Amino acid sequence: MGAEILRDVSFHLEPGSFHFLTGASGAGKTSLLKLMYMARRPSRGWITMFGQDLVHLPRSSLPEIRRRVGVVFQDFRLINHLSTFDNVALPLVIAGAHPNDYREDVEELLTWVGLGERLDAKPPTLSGGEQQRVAIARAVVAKPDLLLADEPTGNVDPKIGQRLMRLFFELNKLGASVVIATHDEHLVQKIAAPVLSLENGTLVKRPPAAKGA
Amino acid sequence: MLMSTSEDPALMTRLKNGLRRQIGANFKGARIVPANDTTNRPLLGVIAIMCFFAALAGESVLMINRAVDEWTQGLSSALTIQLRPVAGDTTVSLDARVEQILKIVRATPGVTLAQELSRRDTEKLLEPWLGAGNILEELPIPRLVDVQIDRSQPPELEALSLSLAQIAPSAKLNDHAQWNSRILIFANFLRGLALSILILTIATTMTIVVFATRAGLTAKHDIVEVLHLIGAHDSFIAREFEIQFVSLGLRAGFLAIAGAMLTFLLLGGLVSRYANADVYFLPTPDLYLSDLLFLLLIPLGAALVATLTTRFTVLRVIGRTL
Ligand SMILES: Nc1ncnc2c1ncn2[C@@H]1O[C@H](COP(=O)(O)OP(=O)(O)O)[C@@H](O)[C@H]1O
Ligand SMILES: [Mg+2]
Repeated sequence: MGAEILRDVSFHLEPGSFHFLTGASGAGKTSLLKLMYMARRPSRGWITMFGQDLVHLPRSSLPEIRRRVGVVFQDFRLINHLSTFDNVALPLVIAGAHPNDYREDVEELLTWVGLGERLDAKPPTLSGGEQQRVAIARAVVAKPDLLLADEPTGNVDPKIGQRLMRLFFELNKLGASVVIATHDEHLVQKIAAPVLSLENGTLVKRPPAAKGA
Repeated sequence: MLMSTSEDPALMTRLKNGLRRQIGANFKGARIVPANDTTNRPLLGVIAIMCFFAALAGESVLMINRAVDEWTQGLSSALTIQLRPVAGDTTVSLDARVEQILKIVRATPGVTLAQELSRRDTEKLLEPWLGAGNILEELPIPRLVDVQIDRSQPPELEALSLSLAQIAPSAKLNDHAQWNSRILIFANFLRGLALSILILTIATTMTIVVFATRAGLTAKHDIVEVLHLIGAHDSFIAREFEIQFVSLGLRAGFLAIAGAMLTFLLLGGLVSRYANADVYFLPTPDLYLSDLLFLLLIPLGAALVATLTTRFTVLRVIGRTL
């Protein structure tokens, strides 16, 4: 077993809350999110989500919880042979939705993130920033109860970054808890949201850096 | 709201309408797990070959069954009486003995026909062993009486044997029962062999599909992981992998059917061309309805076996992940 990246981490997210997760590169932001979206189980400690014990949950129960969590992966994880449209629709397809029922939502969402003209484009033909927007659209399309975004504005210019943040706020207004991992202090400074800060494997809670909201 | 966005409603509407047209024309619903052509093409070939073997093995069973039926029916409605010339016995001529035998047999209830096999027929029967010529005149050839019986009211064979023995001790009544049981032993062996081949082809197909599926899971590892993380059930992922094997199995099966039909046509052509005394015992490779039905089972069976194997493999492999 290697070094322990996360040691003293304890926090509670209220439904409908909005948090930043900050820390230097390599501080363990992605690792913490992975525990939260159930890509990893913790070697010790416990995590409960929506009232369920994630550590001991049988894997057959994971899909139902995962469907309530939207994730923007740091490395996007788009499916390369599927169109932008199909990538974004994927969570709905998995949940058994019929194309007629989600076509408009997906179009609208892709238009919102500025990719309305690229519905048929395959991810490899998109720029990094465009891929990131597809990843964000996929994370929010099923209106999750919890949104976990790992550096979601890392590859886009500030103007589009603001637009994408707006999407997270909209989702938050609908009642979702949102956690945005970022090392972008600018972003944190501009938005009034409490901050969870990872430092040397421990989690420190800080009040909003900015006024507002 | 903290962020302000400048929206142009007219632009949005225009965009949306344009989009709708575009999507209506372009959305195809691509497969989430794409088929892998480089592995699937050889796989199609191998499964088709397995199906071909399965078709030949299954068809052999059907043909053996028919042949056994034909033989045992033909033989059990026929008896043969064999009258061997006995050296030194000159009290009654062989011809006279045959006449006596025919009289007794024809008088027996249940016998529909009794006639001596003509010299020609006997010669023909022996020709493969002795060659054509006048050898028969020099050899003490047994005389054969062919007896047809009514199988619904068969004669009392024991009694018939006894009365035959009284007039001609060297006469032998052969009801082919022994012959029948030997045919059955042989036929059962062949049937067992063909069924074993059938089972082996299924087992081989399953093994190949397991390997192909494992390779596919490794190649598509990224996709499987994303599907899991966004909440896909194992069965959803398994179905994505299965689907390609449905058409693969069907295509392989139909290729095999074509091959099997061709083989039987060739065999049928050969048999009818060379049909004579040498091969009279060969079963006729005509295609009956039952053969066609069996052949149609091949693609269905192949698709089913491949699909279930894939499903089982995928569930097993991804069941070990988180
Ligand atoms: N699968 C892994 N195995 C071992 N170490 C890892 C693994 N993933 C990440 N790490 C290490 O954990 C630390 C935290 O990584 P990460 O969570 O990605 O940080 P951040 O997202 O904050 O930049 C890093 O030092 C990284 O090298
Ligand atoms: Mg990270």
